Amino acid sequence: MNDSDLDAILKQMATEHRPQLPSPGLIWFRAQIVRKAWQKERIERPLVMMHGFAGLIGAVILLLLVADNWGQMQDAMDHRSWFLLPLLLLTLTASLASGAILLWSPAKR
Amino acid sequence: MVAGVTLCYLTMAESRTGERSSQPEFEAFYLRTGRLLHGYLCRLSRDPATADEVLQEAYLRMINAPDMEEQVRKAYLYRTATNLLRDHWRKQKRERKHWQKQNFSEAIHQNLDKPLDVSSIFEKLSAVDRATLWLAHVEQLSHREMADILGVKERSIKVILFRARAKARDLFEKAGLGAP
Repeated sequence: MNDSDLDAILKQMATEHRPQLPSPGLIWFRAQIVRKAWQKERIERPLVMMHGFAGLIGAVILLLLVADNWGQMQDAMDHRSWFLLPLLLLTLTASLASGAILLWSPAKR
Repeated sequence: MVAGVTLCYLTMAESRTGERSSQPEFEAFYLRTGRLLHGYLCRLSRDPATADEVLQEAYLRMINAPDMEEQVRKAYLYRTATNLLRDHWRKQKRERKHWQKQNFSEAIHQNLDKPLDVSSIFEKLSAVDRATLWLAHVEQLSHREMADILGVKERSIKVILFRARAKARDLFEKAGLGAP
């Protein structure tokens, strides 16, 4: 067997391959959906980054405030324990609201 | 407001993508290349389902890539398909390791009851040999194009092709195909 025989066998094998291919229209349609998703993601990327950055800044400010007023807070908690429950509720509500805003923002949709 | 801005940007982005190929152009290209690419992927993966999946993904990527000349586009398509298949194999290997299923090998897709035809003899060659032979004989690509698609050096392709031809000739001769 020489190279031309091999060539003929391989070409014959390729010719005999008759698969059921998906329609080109379907592939084109899927490609348009994928393209829109890529474009949307690219456009909204700065917004998502800003969300994260804002969250980080908020957390840092909160920590600084807590650290700065730690003495006063401890004093308040020691002498007026009724203060603790509303403070916890307020913190929980604020955290849930921030989470909901972040979750339902257009960038996440 | 954000939705409005997004929509505006999307419209602008849409107008900027005008240099991509049009639908009739793509359909003509798909009809010219689809069957052979499917054949290449089938021979390489030994699994028609994987070939279908990879073929569609490769065309999706090609449509969303900037417009290029026919020959460059074809090389891009084969390179993308080959890389997608490699990724698929890597993923399969990871999953296999994870589930500790030792008997789930590439050979699972082989139909051992099939009579010894050209396809089953061809499948006895290694993946690189199968790819090289297909690209050289069916697609009739140059060494450079094949090297680009398979991600190897042009010089190595010559050696791989030479050895693949020898192995294929030997296998076909042993099976009684072609003149000895």
